[in-house]
Amino acid sequence: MAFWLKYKNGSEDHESMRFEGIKFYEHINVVREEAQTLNLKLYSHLLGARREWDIVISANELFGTSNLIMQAESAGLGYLKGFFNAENQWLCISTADTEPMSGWIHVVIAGGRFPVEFIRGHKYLPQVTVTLRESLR
Amino acid sequence: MPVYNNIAKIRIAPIEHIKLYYPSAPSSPLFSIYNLESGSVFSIAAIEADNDQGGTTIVAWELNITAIMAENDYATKADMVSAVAGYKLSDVDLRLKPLSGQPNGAEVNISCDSGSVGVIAYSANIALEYVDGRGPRGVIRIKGLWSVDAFGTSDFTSVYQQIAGFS
Repeated sequence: MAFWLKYKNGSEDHESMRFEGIKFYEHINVVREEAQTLNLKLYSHLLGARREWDIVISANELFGTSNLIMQAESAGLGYLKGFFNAENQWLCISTADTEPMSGWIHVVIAGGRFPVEFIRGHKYLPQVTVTLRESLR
Repeated sequence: MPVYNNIAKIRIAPIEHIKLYYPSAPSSPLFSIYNLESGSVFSIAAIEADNDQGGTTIVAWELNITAIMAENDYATKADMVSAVAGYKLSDVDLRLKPLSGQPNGAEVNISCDSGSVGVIAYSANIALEYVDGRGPRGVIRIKGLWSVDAFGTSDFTSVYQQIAGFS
């Protein structure tokens, strides 16, 4: 499942990158107001719903092209750190090879520590797991 | 018609000699070991991660080198033992034994600084072990990582064709 990520900080130009991901799951998260009337009638009022995506991008895309001398992180991992640390983020589900002109979904991402783990404890095998939530209903 | 990209054919191959490079002298091997016993092998294994289709995706390749030294006097190898144990490898060159009718085998250069086929990290250790009842032998074990792109590069294509015996 190919997809694009985009982020933008303030008045800077946006940055986008295409990923394949090894896991890409879409969910829907519905918010309802539920209660019971005095005559015991139940109601469940729909307030809204948003899509959520659980995404895993693994070391096959994040493995650095660096070597022992350079010790540089990969472009993909550097991009994801920028995405995680950005003011605004977007997702576009597209297999296009160039940045799509449309289909971008504004998303939010939880704060905290950058969600990277290292396969077999190897620092050159990073794997990033993120959940993106649609910002608008 | 041989299948050149059949990785199963090259998963394991005997080593004829090995050269170890260190950052202090990156262009010439600090140690070249020509007297290797049987059981000295080079192997490649996939590192996999679960994907969303119920299977796994190869995210990197792990290469493992085991070199068993035939040596009468390990005291003469003290500097090598010290280097392998104490310094970080910068490069390894291997010569593999021929698996087919090739007279000279295939020179496999696994190089940290060669770019597309470069190994990104090495771990090395050395130990004296009993090997198949033949008594104590100095055994060097080296582990490295290749990116998934390694097998797709043109320079590696020629190498694995040779390893597989289809030069």
